[in-house]
Amino acid sequence: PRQLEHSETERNTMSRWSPYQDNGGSCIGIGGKGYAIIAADTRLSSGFTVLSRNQTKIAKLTDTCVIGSAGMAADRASLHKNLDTRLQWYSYQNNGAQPSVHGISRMLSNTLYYRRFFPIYAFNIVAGVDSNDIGVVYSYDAIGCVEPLTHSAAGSGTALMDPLLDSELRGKYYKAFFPDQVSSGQEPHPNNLTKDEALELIKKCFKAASERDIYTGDTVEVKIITKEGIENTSFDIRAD
Amino acid sequence: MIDSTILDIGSTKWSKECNEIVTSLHNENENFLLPNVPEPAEYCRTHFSAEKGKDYDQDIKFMKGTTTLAFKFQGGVIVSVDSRATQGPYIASQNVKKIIEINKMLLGTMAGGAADCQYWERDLGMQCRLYELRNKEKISVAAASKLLANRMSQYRGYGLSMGTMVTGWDKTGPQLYYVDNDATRLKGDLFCVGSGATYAYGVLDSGYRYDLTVDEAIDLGKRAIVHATHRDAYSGGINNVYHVGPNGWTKISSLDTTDLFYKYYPPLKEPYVLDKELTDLESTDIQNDA
Repeated sequence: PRQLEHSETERNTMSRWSPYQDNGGSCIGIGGKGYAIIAADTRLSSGFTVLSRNQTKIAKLTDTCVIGSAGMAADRASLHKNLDTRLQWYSYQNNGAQPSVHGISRMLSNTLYYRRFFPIYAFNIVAGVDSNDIGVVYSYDAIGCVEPLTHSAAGSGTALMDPLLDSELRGKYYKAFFPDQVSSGQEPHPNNLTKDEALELIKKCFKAASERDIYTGDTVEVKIITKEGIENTSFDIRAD
Repeated sequence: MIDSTILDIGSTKWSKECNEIVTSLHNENENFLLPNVPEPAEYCRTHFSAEKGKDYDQDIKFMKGTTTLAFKFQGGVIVSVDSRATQGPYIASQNVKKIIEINKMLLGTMAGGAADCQYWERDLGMQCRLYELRNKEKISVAAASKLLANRMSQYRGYGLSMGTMVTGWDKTGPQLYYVDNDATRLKGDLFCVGSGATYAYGVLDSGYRYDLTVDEAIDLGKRAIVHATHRDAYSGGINNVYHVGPNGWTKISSLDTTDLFYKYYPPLKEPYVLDKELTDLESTDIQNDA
């Protein structure tokens, strides 16, 4: 056998510093008529280590809008803080008014695209109830491609939870979701789950994800948004 | 110390500072943040590329993949697209809006990086609106596509991925331009863009005539996408069809591509029956040497 040169082995195993880190975790959003629900697990991991069992991924932006992000914890914290600051400034400059879910969704898309050449490693879901009581979930990729949906999953458990949501919520003929057409009465809401059914579905999804995804587990924090306000609840899943 | 600034008490003094703070937060008005490396363009191309086939080793994968097509004929322009977005091998979404309504007369399509197309076509919409306000007339398709192409040439080499068609009906009639992330800009009668483009070209080229009726043209557009989604793994979902006429665009249909395929090619009436063969075997007597 040929003697390997030292530089050959070194080149292959040399570790380069990466500005990113995947801290794991999953997030789900479901929107229906009159409600929107965001749920995220509370586990923070790094590689095979669990760093925290009690770290939130969800941030409240306004009384009718909430954001959940999975991916890198540092980028998530920085992004949520940035959004929070800008929303405070909005309310100072507009007499205490708060922007609508649709406005916040567009702002986040632009914020993410501003970092097109050095992306924010966070996969976001913005959920909220608009002024006509239609629950909507906006799903993003890392650089700000946004689309309004009735349900979405983000994070390490996406491939496990999305198919489960699709099979429960999609009818035989798939319907795209256009919140402005639903608001104006041109189309019925494609999602006919009630709030409690949606919560049961979310529990099923996280139980399924925690069985097969090592980064999803511990507890799940749930925020239910209606026009009355935001309700907090939580439930436990596997902690192993 | 008391000096002339004492007269600035009240909102005037603070509003200037507030505006500075707020504009620094909305820093999208300035340049894009670049990574702090010696060769930013090369770093972005290798680590943050949105192009198909180039992002399998990346940490962050972006949404992309598609088939879009548009063609000009005597009745205007037909634009027909699929709605699938993939993130590496994962289907991230089956209902992305790949036809972007820039304004009532202009349409843009999305192929390549989803966020890149969405953002730059929104930016194009803003520039078109500013043109209208400044010049008191609607912008021409040639000018709009030129604005987009010029934007792309500013970011050439940074790994953006965008293959779009800008189409509309302006005072010179129906127009169709293809604009690329390398700032290619081509005027034409018929384009298919995306991973499923070759499949769509086959059907579209064989059925295309300038004197198609509007209904025939819509049907041709649908068929081309159905064939492309049938064979290309990166395309699928819903087929959205728009028609651009002299008064602007109208949305024609939004149908599931699988259902459309079975409508054009219904499955065989008699499926192959395995049991039939086995029953035939049982009926033949096997003579034992007893």
